[in-house]
Amino acid sequence: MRTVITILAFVIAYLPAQSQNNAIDRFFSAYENNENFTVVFVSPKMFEMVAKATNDSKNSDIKELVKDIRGLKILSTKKDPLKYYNEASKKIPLNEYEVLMTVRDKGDNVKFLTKGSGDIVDELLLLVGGNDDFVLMSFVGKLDLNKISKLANKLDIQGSEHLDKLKDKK
Amino acid sequence: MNNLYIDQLLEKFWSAETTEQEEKELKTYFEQADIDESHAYASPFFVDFVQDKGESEDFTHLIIQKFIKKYFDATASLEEEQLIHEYFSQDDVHENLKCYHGLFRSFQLMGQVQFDKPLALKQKPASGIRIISLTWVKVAAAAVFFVVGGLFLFKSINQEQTAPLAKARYIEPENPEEALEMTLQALAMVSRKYKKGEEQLLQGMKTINNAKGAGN
Repeated sequence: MRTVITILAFVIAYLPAQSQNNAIDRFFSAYENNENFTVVFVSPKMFEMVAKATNDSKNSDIKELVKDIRGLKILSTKKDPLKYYNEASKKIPLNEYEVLMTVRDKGDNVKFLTKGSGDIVDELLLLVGGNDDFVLMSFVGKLDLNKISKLANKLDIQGSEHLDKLKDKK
Repeated sequence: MNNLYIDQLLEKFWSAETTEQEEKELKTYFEQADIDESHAYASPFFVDFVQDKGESEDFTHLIIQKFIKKYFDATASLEEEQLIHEYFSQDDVHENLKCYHGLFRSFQLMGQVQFDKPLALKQKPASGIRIISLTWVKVAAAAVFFVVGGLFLFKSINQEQTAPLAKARYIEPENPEEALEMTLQALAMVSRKYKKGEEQLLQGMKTINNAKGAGN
């Protein structure tokens, strides 16, 4: 009888271990096998190397911000963007994430979500769903929201140029 | 043998000056039935002495004592234990071993204890509670185990089969420069959207202010 209980205990303990990743990871892995999606993944290891490489960079704001990032994941598609936007909105656990900002502009929906408390957050989530694109972007690290908002103003002009590059890659 | 002679012998005996011959004479005197009243006080001593000598020829208790010592050291053989038990199964036990008598006796009695009341284990209680046999519990557990294991196996095989069929475009930077570029592009998007949000907020505020102004 004791053996039976032990075996059952192991089986039961094994079940939730499979689904212990956080909700966003699960969302990512759910679409990794979908050919309509593009996944970008920059590992913590790579960010360590980036931090070393940007040490002598002139742009100190970027240097400061990149230094704090530990991981980047992007999931994007051009097919049924609104459908996936709604799906993602529903799947994000609101007990873990806090909505920082919601923007609705000409059929373009944007959501900023953060995990953690205070000005320095553990994760910044950007969710974009419009008529053309669906993008889910996840920054992990010790992110200072003030730095990001400052950078947002600075990068404004450079921004379009970088965006073009991103489009080239797709 | 007159009483006076015995008196003399006794006196010598008490002062430990008697010869063996004289001691023997005393013994024979006390062993006989008719003893002078004045000597009766010494009689138990000599009679006991005689009896003691007679009994000490029986060494059984010494051997048993050795066995018991071995028994408590857990080195006694089965035969020796058997001999101990046999010795204590009789009531006539030597003085030195009396303390063990109760112990070994109770061991024996315990060995004979039998439970002779009828046991009602196999009978099903009338209340309808069924006792599931352990075998069935084991079978059920094994079935659960294999089903769960099978499911996991099935799942993993399924994943392996479907994985190569459809896969998202997977982009991973190969060097820090590429990683930095990707990160900057991502940040640019963030800033663009953030900016848009701020603009909307400002516009909203303006609208509210205008509305207020109109109201006034």
